[in-house]
Amino acid sequence: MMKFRTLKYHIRQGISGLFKNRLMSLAAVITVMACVFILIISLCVVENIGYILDQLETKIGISVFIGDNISDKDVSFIEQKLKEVSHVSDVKYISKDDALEWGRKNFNGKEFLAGLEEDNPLPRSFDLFIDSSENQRVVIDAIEKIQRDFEEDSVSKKVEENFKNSIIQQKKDENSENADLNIEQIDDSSKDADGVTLEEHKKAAISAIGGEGYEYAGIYKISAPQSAADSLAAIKNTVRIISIILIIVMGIISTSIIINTIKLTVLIRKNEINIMKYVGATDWFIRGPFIVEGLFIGIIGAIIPCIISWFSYDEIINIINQDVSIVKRLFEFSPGSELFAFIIPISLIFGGGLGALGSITSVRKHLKV
Amino acid sequence: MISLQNVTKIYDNGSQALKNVSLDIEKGEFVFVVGSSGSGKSTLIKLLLKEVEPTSGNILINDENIAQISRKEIPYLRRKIGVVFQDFRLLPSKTVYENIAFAMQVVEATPREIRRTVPAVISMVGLSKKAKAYPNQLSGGEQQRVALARAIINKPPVLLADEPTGNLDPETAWEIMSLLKDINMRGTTVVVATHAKEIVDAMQKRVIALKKGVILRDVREGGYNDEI
Repeated sequence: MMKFRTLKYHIRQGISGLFKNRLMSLAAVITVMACVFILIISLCVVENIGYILDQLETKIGISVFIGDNISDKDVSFIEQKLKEVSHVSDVKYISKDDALEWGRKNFNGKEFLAGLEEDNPLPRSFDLFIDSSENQRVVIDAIEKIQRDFEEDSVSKKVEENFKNSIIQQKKDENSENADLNIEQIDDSSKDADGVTLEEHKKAAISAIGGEGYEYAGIYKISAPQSAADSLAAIKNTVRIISIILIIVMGIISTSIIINTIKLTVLIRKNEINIMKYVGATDWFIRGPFIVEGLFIGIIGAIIPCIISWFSYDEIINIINQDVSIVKRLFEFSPGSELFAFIIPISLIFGGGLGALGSITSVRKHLKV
Repeated sequence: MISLQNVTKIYDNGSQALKNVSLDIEKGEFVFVVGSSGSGKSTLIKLLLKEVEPTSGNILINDENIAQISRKEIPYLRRKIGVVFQDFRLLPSKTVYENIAFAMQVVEATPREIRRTVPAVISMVGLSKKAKAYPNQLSGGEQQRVALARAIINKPPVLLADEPTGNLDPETAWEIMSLLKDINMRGTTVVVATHAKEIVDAMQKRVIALKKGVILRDVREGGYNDEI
């Protein structure tokens, strides 16, 4: 455990080292500044691409079309189910009128849609927005489940209804007076005239769902722009990989520059290190001041570009928004405060780590006395 | 105190600096190691500081085989051995006081200990009036006194001096030698590698004469070249 006074000694020596080799320190600080600047710029670009992609992604929805023959109650039941699907961020109901309105706006051809108010052929639908394009498949699976459950339910009801009717009919044929009395007693095991149970009727009907010629009553179509979602996910991945590579490359380049800069300051103090070794200084004691010096160089070198870029970020975004007005309509840039809340710590850690690493590497050679 | 057992040192370039050297130095002794350059004097000092490793043989300091201690422990070995060099090796940016205090900071002494000990040692080497001077404001002899003060500030049981008077005029050399003698009188084992003939002859201390890596002579109280 390092003694507090030793730490104090290291800090004092490190700071005095900074000032003793003023020119060298300045060169090192400028080097770090350049590196951190490039790092910040690349992080800004990468983050904004990600941010914009996220916005585009939420604009890619899934459309769920509803059959005309189901009741409003069923529609709100489906809406409720859709809202419960995980990864769905928003569900928007589009009524027949809404659809017509949208069509008018977008096709501009009033003749083409004229006279449809009375008998609107456009279906009701839901627009679903999902949190991330990567989850599109999962959401579609969930919607398909809702679709199937609804169909099974409504098919069963319809079969039961028909079954009842046929039994009533049968009873009427046999004995018209008692016809109504037995309806209550019908259950899954009841048999019709041919000896087929209600349950078997239901099973047969359910197995026909989705088969050839089957018409969906509830959700009859799920439409999702799969290729757009896929390419967005791919772009996001690429951006992520590029940013990681960028950070690594920047790290390597700047560390080597720092190492060379600090090597010079170490060289100047070669004698000092040598003497320290002879009077019995441990390796960490010798490294201490150099690490402090490196940390200071790194952190000062990181703070300056952080401040400059933080203050100029919003200005630059404003200029882009004004000069390229189309940009503003398509998407927003990442807000500076949010962006820099993570860029600043990264830069400080990057700069400080760079400085300390550079110092340790530079001193290493001279410790072998 | 110090014991070399069949120590041989061959450098990587093939030059044989020491050949099967064995010697014992008792606690409190004052020993001259003499010989022309290339005789192996400096190698001997470097071996004791574990600056170089012996090719074969054992080196014991305080009954501890220093061949067996790890790199991490070297600083603690060196704290037991004060050392001065021909070229003083002072830090030009530090004052006399700071140069000496530095050796105490390195071993993490408290500021109080430093404040108490440094002035005493400075006055012992006779530099009280120059405590605030920088090395380049001092004569060679004064610089070597500072180096001596630094070497003994942590009270090492052994003091090694590699040609301590090599850069000094005869009169100053004598002053340094008498300081070394004083230090020895206080109980420190002193080993001086030198080729200052007059001094060795006059002091009549133990002399170990090396020639081409071999001990030529080891006499209790002798002169520089009784037989060389």
